[in-house]
Amino acid sequence: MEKNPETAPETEYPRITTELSRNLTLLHITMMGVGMMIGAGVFLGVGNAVKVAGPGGVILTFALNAVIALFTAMSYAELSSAVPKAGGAYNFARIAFGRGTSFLAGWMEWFASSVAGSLYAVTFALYTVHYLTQLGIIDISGAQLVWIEKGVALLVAGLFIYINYRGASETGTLGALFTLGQTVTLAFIALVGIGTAISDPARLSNFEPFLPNGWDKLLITMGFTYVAFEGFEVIAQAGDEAIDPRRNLPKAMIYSILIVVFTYVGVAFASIVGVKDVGQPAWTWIGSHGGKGFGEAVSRLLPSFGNILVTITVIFASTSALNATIYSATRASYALGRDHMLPPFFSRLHHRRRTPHVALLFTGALVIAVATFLPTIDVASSASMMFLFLFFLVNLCVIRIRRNMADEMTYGFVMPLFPIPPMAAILVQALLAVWLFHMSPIAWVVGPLWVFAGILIYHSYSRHRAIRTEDEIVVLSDQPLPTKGEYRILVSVANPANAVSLARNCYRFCQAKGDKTEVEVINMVPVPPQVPLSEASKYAGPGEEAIMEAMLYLAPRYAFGSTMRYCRNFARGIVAAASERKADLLIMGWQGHRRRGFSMGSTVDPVLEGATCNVAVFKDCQEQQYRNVLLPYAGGPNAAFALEMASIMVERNGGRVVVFHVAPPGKPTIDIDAFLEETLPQLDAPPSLFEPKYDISRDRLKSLLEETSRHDLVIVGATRDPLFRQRVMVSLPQEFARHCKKPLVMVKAKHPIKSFIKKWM
Amino acid sequence: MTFDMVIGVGLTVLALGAVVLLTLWSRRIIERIHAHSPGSLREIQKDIVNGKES
Repeated sequence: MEKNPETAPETEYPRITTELSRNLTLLHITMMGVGMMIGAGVFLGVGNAVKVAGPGGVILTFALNAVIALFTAMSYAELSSAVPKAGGAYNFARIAFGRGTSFLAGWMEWFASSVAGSLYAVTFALYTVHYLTQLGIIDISGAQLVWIEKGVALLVAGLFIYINYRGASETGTLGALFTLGQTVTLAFIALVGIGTAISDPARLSNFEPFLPNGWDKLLITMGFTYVAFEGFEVIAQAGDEAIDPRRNLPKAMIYSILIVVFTYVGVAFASIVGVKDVGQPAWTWIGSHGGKGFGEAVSRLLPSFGNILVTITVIFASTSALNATIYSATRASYALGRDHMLPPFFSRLHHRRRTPHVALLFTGALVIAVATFLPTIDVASSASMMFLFLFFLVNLCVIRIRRNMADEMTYGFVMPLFPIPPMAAILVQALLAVWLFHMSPIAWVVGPLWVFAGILIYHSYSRHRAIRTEDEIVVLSDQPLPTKGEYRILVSVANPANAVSLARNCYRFCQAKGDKTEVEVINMVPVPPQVPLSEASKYAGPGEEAIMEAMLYLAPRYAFGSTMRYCRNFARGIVAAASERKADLLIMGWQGHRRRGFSMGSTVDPVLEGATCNVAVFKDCQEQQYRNVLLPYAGGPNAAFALEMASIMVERNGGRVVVFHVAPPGKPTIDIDAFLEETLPQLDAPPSLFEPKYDISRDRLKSLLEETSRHDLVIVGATRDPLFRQRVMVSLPQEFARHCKKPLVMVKAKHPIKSFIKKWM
Repeated sequence: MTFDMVIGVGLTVLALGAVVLLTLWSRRIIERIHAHSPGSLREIQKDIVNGKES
């Protein structure tokens, strides 16, 4: 049977990779974002927001929305600088949460962009028909006028669907010029407004009462005008074509918010002060025109040409945004089809035009359906709601990626004050979405229905068909223990030699914890970076042997399970397994080498930081018996676990544990006896085994290292410094561990609250 | 000027000020990162701290 070249799987030949030419400058991509944002939100939003929140409310709405939008823009900026390729939220969600969430992100992005497209079509229709009515070309009112507006919206949507089908699109310099023109026009209106207020200060009384309907209405207006700040995320799609993307993508996103917020606040101000002698308060007059309020106000501000100016600005703004949203909505569904999350026909390209015509057809149907059947305010609210959901997800992604994968990423931007901006954005966006119900209950039907439909589709169709990606943790083999017992230890083994010594040390711990202790062994298969995921099993040999060695040692006595996995980042794979298997203790080895940027090692550091259970890292612990154990003690949350570890590792017959504290001169020493008195009753160990010792020294590290010469094993607690300090400065425990020539165990106890938060994240 | 207006204008100025401040701060971070070269979060934080101390 002849294969269809558009849908048949690709044959695996060595690839000649191609890259799009990078010719989009910072100005181009900034204007891309600005152009998308000024599509419709401000033109429709001013009149409707003034009606609900009053003259001061509309200004506050845009100013406060800008702060929240900037927080989300910073999340996008950080993620785009780390993943500078086309895909946006779909890519970020895939890396952060996996295929299911990435499907939802792409699904929501598709709908959000389509509904935004409907909004731009409706805006175009509203202002164009209004202008033609004022010129006397159209002489209809009431319900018939609404149908004319709908008809024009459908026509313009159909036109741009056709333009996208043909493949022509407004890109690069031309697009930037159009957007610059729109922005300059709006800036001009704002300046005229400011000039008017200066020359006639009495117009400022139009701002009284400032918030006639109360402060709570702000939440409603912020909700439905949030779509005015939708557009900067499109800049992420330019990653493949932008010059120096890691630098310019984040800059463009943040600059675009700065440009539009002053534009919006300026034109909102100009609209309020522009209205005079209308027989009622300016704000009620503007509000009575609803979505056309902005245009009416500007025609009062600039009587001779305000009308035509606004109409031309709206025509250019809404059509370029409509074109771009149809393009990006189509691309979202195309990407889902390409990755087999939606039926493959979504990724079909037209044989001549090379455009994704099937995805375009579905996108067009969505745009037209929403524009036809929903009233304008519901269209705006539905678009805002979907973007609120999407941005909510992206803010979660930035937190999770920072937490789990920050060492794997190459960042061109890291946001200041992390995690305050994304967490604040998450809270406010959730609140705005809820409050949107007051403005448009329909949005709260349409939005959740779409999300629910996406979840259904994913579970019934996409889940088993989606293509695996490079960031995933691949399970090569899995023999898990059936149920969680009293105490579970996860041992991470690298090779047969390492497996034997770790298994011996694990055995000691199992003996101390009792016969009900369970052991699971994990091996992370080392695959060279240039080798694809599908080849991982070829490198599994040493790992299988390692697991076998551990099993021979431990399985006769204790319940035993094993798993072999592959992940580009070992630490992430190990931490995920420890959480998934609900391990109480994670045991791993460390060779003692250090890599640039890490205190101990590229696997050990992130595991110590990220694991949600107790951790014990063994260095050079090959001996069967340890009679002289040293435990450096400085207080801290890991001390009790270190003492427990020492009591387990030391030979009970004739052995001793020296609990050693070094204090700088002039500083008080910590009471070791009090610590032993408090902690020993919880351990099954005689107090005679332990011996406190004190020293005073300026060079604590030197003193500690000298003391190790009298012992055959050292147990040390990991640093209790906050994560940031750990990353930028080498702590004393870590420094000591690196220089110590004796066998060493570094331990970290799980922190109940932090572990809960990490697990949840 | 009413109480609502005072608070409202103040909030607006604060919000716009925050947007400007965060924009300038972000721009500074981007330039600082690219002065050394983009890297992992760990490397960037170390470079920033070492830059502050020198």
